[in-house]
Amino acid sequence: MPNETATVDTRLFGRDVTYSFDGPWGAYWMVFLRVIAGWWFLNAGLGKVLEQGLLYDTTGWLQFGTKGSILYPMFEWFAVNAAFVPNFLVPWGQVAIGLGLILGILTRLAAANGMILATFFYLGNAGWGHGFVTSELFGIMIFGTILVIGAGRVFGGDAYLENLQLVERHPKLRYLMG
Amino acid sequence: MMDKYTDTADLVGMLGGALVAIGVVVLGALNTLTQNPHVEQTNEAGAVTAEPLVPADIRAYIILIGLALLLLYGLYRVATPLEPATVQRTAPADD
Repeated sequence: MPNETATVDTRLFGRDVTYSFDGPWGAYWMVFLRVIAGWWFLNAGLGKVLEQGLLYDTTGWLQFGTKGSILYPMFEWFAVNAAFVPNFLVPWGQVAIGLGLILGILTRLAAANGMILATFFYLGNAGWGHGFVTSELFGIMIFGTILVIGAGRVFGGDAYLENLQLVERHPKLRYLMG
Repeated sequence: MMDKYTDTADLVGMLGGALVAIGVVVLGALNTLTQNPHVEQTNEAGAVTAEPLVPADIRAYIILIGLALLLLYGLYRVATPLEPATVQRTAPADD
């Protein structure tokens, strides 16, 4: 079998960085990462929607589950004054983020919002009973990785969407894709 | 540090990543190496029995600031005009 490598040409702290890895695995792993991370959120969101319908009651978690965390004042404000915002955005945001990642559609937008949502879950951690390295922190890192490497361009809808005339006329849309 | 492909916004974003690494790794290592707990320990009566060297809230705020800088960087990139790509980096062919 011929030896196939992929080369990444990038830059760190002002220095050129070039490295190679086994060719077939780069694209494979990008899709793998997207599907697993996407399912994490899609499954979590679907479960909430199937259980409670359009709005999911997050107020219990906001008011009591996060008490003592640094974001608690904000969470409590939302729970008391605008509960419909998290009640809608948490389940449907998770569904949208999960679908976006699995299908590779608006991948960067989905991954960025996944980072924001995972940040709320991470810093809503009251007491840090499991330390600072938690599944939510890894969620933030995985979503960030998907965003940085343009994982939606492999086997995902963004590879096709980026060729649309609309995107060619508005190239900044690419920041939300790929 | 800064070169023609890395602007101030990139550096601010990278500083955000550094703050997350400091909050999670560096300060975590300080607690671990000095054999202090990561969070305040209390006994059944509620009295504090052991405290971390670096309080958990301080670490959480540092991580929050770091993640916020990364978010600001992303928003800045989406909000500012796109400059034409001056360098197209491509992987060289294998052959």
